[in-house]
Amino acid sequence: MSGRGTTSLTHEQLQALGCIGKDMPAVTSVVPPTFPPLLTKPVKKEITATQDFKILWKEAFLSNMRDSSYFTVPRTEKKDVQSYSDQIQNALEGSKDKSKAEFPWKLMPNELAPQWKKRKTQDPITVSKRKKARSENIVAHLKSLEDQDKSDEEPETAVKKNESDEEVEELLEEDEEMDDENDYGENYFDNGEAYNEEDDNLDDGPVY
Amino acid sequence: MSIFYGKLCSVILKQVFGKNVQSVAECLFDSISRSLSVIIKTTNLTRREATTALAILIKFRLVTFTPSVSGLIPEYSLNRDAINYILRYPRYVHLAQTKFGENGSSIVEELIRSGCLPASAVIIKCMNNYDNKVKPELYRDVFNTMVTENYLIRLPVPKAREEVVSEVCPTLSIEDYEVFLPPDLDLMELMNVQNGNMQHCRDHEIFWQINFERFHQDFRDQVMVSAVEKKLGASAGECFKFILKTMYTKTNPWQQSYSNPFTLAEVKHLIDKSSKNLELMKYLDQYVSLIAEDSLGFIRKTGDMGGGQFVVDFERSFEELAYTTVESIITEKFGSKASRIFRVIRMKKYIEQEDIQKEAMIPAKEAKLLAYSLVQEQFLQIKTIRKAGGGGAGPAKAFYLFQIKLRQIVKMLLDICYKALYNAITRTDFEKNENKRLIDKSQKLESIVDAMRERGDAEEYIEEIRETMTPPEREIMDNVKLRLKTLANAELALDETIFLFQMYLFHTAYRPPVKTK
Amino acid sequence: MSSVETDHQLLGVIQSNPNGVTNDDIVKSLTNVSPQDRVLALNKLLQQGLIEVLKKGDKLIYRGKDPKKNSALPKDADNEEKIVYGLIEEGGNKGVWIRDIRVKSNLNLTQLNKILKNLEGKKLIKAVKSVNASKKKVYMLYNMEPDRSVTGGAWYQDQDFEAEFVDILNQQCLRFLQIKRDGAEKKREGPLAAKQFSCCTVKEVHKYISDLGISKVTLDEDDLETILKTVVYDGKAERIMTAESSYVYRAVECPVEPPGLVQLPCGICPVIKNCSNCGDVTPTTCEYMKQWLE
Repeated sequence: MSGRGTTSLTHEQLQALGCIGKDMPAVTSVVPPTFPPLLTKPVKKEITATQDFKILWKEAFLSNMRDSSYFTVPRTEKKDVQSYSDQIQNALEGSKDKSKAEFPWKLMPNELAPQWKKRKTQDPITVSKRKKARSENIVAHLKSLEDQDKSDEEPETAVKKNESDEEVEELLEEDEEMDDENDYGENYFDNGEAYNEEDDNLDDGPVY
Repeated sequence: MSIFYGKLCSVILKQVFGKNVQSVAECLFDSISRSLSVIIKTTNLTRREATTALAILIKFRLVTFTPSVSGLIPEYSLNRDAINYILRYPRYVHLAQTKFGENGSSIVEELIRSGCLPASAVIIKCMNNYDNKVKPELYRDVFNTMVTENYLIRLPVPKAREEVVSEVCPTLSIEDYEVFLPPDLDLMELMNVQNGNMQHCRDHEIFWQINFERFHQDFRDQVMVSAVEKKLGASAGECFKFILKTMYTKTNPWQQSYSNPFTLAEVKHLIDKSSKNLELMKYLDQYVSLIAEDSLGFIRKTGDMGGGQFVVDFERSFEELAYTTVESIITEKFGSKASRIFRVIRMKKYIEQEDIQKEAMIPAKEAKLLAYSLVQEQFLQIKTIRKAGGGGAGPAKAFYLFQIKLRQIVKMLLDICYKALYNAITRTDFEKNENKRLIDKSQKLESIVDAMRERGDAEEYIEEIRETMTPPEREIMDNVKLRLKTLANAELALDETIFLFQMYLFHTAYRPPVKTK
Repeated sequence: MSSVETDHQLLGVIQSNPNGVTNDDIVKSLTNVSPQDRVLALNKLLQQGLIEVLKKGDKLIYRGKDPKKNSALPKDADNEEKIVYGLIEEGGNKGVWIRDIRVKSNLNLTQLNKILKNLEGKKLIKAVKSVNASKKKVYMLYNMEPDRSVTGGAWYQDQDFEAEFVDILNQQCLRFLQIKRDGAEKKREGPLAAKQFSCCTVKEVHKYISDLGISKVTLDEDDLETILKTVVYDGKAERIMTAESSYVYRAVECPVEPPGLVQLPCGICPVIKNCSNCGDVTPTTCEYMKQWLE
């Protein structure tokens, strides 16, 4: 449509088409409506079980991707995009392993790979302790949410609300901490001369 | 490529990978290839944001790279066609499920969610995410079957260091025999990695991806089989399935114009072996003739060997299917009289206005208006033929003939499809935003209720939580959900139209004459 | 020599050969007539409709016109009347437009109208409204049966196309083809036999429609074939050539479902060209989307 754009017919062609003359409505200066009435409605078809499966799958896939570290958001917007419910969701799902971004750096140009930062493998016991602590937090957090919900319209609970908000933030901070640990090369700066050095590191690169 | 396709790609990527990936892809969309520094400059992203976005795009096979002309830096290019495959993800998963069961769909799902993975990682993810009770060997076996049937494809690996020409980009290569060679999987190793006793399996550097072409081959088969079924009945449809199966044993599935020949005897052999349809077995030769003689033109007789020699004619098949689709769209958009006019012109090839109304038996005025609308919306073209006037005096007499240029129409409609998809996605975002507060509340409640259930709270208590959503709110919420579902369904349906048109363009594309050496 | 004499001589020369004569023949026979007079005389005879010009190869041939044709015209008719009458006669049963008569006769409109009125009054000619060009009258001899291309045949009532009548016939023809096909499918004698049984000849359809008695005019088989072709153009039937090189018709099903594109408003949208991110037509402000999602 773009290039070929609007079809403009010559006067001759229009005449041959019979579009000029008595058969055609006279040209009027009345502006046509923005949305002229449709001849028919769109064809309606029953949503089959197959379609339903696909719709549900796609919804789950998209929300999964949004929660994954493959979902990229500009730094400036990071704080705003998480809706309240996202935060709750994160708090709830924090105990599950969020899918981490894993990249086959060897299949990519060197300049993309972050400077590999060696870090200690996390002691499994500490991790599980942390997870436990988090789930306890969640229980407490949920409790407060429920309370808050029940008294949604009561102004007296304002204080309480603030408390719970703080808690959410706390949980979030913890999340971010975790993220940072999973993250690579926060202070990464490429001077463009580090290729060889990186190559060495890449050999025992990220874990899959 | 159309601007609508660009806009569509942009919203799809935003939906799946967020804004940074979107900006990088938008930057790459307009050019053949770009370097990292140009990408950073154009997108205003930080270096890290840009490299991450590129890494994601490469991992999901949406961006490729080559060394620049100078050989000093890599340049990145967008794999534009693959972006609309994202809309097909649900179809790939569903197909894997019907063909390989739950395990098959889990494998495809994991590969889709990560772009590409080593086989061992896929299986470990499947076991972690789904039913832990499924034994790893089951996943391994399905994985191997999917590889041998070409649904999964091995990615090229970097060449050994001494062979590498440029340090800037890895040189990726793969031997032909390896592409569909099942992975080397050790189950003990798998268990060790899953339990955290080992870092990774031996195959950790061999990556796999779903083979889109193989899935598309099945989609194409489905389109053709269902057309035969709808027009000539269920048994003919089944017959055609076997015809395709026979044909694939001798033909590269993406042979462009038509297949290599196969015989009735071969089809019969296959049907006797694997069909239970007595009607089909009894009248097989008749069914094959029925399909060969039908105006669909899916198969064509080329000889008498082996009870009759045939080829599958992809070019004609998809021309016919594209015509039918275009006609159907015209019927809905302009009414049945317009599609009658369109078919008159299709059958007559070139025709004058006056003859249209006579053939179509439509009042002159209506016929003129409809033909005019069809010309205006680019479903019809006008061909002008000038005849020199008698004795050179007076103006040359001109004839105006209507004609159809199918390829042009299909391209125009594909553009509308892309626009419609863009609109559906935009509208979905809009509906979600308009009702954000309510959707958030409803999701919040659902999570709380789920958590309470898990904790074993009393049902009445749970009910109380549920009731924080007022009946009017619930009604609005139900409506929103319905609207989102209608939109999601339209997206899937649109992709089927897009697929058919893409097949038409592929199979009827201009082929330069083969040069003999 | 007076001009009348020249005319007579010239006519004599031309009529002497029933196959017509060339200009050279005339020059040889009428040596005493100046070229200028000859041309004048030829033109006069042509205008009077007494001779005609034909082209043979690259030569022009003058031939006398059949005097019997003019016999219906009263002897007292004047030259102009003769010319007009002749032109109308030439038009046969397809008729002649008044504009063409005027151009060929070189008469002015008032004069021509007067002559036409006069001839019509004497019931020598008649005016018939043509269906091809609405409101344009064509003239033909009074006792002529107008050609189908003028009246439009069975599908026209007073030059109005009877669209409803055509639609009803189209539906009835399709119904007949479908009944025939449904019957064929029950026979279970293999797919080719079923296909054979589902084919209908025009004769069968003609009989079915005649028996229905829905047509107030008599329709012949050609008329029905015209209708059957519209069923084919609707994509609901196929036309198959038989061994006897006549055509049979059979009902068919459309091989594709309504495409995804028309399952949402954008596929049938009349203003999709105006649709973008800003302006009056956008996916978020779209009236069609709104109605569709309601």
